[in-house]
Amino acid sequence: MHRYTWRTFSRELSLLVIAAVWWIPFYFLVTIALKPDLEALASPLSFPQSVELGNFGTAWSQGSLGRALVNSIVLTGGTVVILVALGSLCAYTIARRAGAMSTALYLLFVLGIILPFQLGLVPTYAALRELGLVGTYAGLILFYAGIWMPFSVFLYTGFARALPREYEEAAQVDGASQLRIFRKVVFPLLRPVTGTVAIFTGLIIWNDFFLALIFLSGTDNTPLPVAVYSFVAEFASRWNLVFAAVIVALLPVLAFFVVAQRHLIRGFTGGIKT
Amino acid sequence: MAPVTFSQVSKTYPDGTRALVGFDLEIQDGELVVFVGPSGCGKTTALRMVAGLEEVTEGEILIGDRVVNDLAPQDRDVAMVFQNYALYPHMSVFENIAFPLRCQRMPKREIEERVKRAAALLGLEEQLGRRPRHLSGGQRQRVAMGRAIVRQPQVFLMDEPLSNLDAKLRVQMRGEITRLQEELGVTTIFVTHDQVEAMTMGDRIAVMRKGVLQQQGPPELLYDEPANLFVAEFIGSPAMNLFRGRLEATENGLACVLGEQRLPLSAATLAAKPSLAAYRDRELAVGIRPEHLLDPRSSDPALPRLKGEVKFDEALPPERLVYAAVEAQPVVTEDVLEIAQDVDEAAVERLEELAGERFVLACARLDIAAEAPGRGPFEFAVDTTRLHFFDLDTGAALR
Repeated sequence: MHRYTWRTFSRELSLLVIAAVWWIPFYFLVTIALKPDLEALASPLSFPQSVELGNFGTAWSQGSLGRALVNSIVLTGGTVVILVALGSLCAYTIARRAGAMSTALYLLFVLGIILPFQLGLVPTYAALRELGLVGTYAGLILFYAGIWMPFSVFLYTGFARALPREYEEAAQVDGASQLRIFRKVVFPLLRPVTGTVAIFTGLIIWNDFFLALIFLSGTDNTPLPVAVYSFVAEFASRWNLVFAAVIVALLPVLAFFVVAQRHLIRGFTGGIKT
Repeated sequence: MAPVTFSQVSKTYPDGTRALVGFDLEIQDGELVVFVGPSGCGKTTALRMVAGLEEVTEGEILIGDRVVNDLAPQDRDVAMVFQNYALYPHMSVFENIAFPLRCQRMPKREIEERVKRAAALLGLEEQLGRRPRHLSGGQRQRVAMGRAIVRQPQVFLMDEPLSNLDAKLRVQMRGEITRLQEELGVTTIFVTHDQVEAMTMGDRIAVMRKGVLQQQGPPELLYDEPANLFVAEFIGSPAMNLFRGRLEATENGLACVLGEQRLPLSAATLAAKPSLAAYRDRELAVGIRPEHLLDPRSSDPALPRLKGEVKFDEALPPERLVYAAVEAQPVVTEDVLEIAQDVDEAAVERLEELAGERFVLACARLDIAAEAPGRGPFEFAVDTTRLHFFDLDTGAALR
């Protein structure tokens, strides 16, 4: 039993202060988004006198956020599916094959994490343009998958190496083919790390602005961050609408994170429950 | 259901470790054979080679009349129960048992029927919807058995399946596995390092050491006629008492000398073990099972006596284990040390210390109904027809 001392109290108080500082931008984000035009201009920092929920509807329709939301879902979902499907297969092979080739492959992937992707940005852009993939979902999904694959393989390999071989051996003796063993036994056992890979890379891709701007600006395929950016340029004087748009863009991620954070933590810390 | 044959099977790992050397054994159709031996003796390797999980370096393994050396585990029609059960944690008990049948693409209805039949046989009907992590150790063990029997394979392979259970459950499951194996009549190889498990379950036991088969046969044969010091020491609990002794010529034939004490050997003993004649005036290892050190108060007065000093006793109804220091040199050979090593390092140290001593702490199995001999000098009667003799250099039994 821990005693509640002055020391504990002061520690808690300092954490609360830090948390309050952290929350200040969010406070402004929400309060300004709820204010009518005039109030937002006159007293942007005050608590809203009246609530204008219509800001969200205006931002949604004026900023084409619906289309942008679909784009974000397609880009993020497509990339995550590739990262999970190929990353897990590749990592499982690396983890289970002992040999110089497998070690070299693993090191190559680690190198992919260390090297900044910006080094290859220009030639990759040129190559994708040659292939007619710039401005398309497929082009950016391929690029995202390429730059995040090393991270996916790295996480999966560490987890797969720790996976007891007995499950696979049992499945072999039970008569399962290699593909079935992977599909029905290994992949489900990799679930915690799959959660981590999907959530971690998914969040980064969902929030990515730079690559989406380079590859997709000027098309109808722009995701939420680029759409919000364009919206800011158009409605720079109406911060209440801009902030409402930002909240609309934030909400799916926030909701997803609340639902999925348990998986994220388990993937980093835990193994499989037997 | 099929016989399994090991023909000169060897296994050498890439680092040069020889896990199995020239292993020869024929397992009959429907037989339960137990591979037993200390850690690292090659018993699990032999089992995994039958399953196809280890490659065969030399020799041939046959299931039925088919050489399976190059067959994938999937194609061998064997089922295996692993030490940690290896139940798929993300599947329910039903799905775990059904998995081998799904691999065979069996129709759904048949899968359901077979799984339910297996579950009924193992008393798992109530658990079919649960995940393995919600089951007790005994239930998990049963699920692993269910997954093995549901396919009706040619051979069952069991790799120390009882080692994770507590003592009481182990005894219960031991009985259940034996019953199930008899009912199904499937050829079974059971690996264990527990000699009690081996003795109680096996139609035959194969005792292994350092990858070499030491002796195989029914439990009684291994107990009564061990082929060498290793088997003698390994099989039996409490273990055989071993003394360093000498054979001396007497007026009436030969006597076995332990320290300063002489145990005259009857003509019948010498006739039963003719090779002893060659050991006259030579040192050898003498083994006496605890039940052959008798209570002098209730045995034939004509039997020779072995003096010792009772140190302590353990009441284990219906018997009493009496431990007495007998003045004689202990046998501390490589065989004995290896078995001790399997117990723990301290046991090895104790034995090495004892090597310099002149006493052997002998165990006698007496009737609990008789009065316990108090601490101090005591004379045991010895049934010399039941003595075991071994060559000290080779460890081979002298017969």
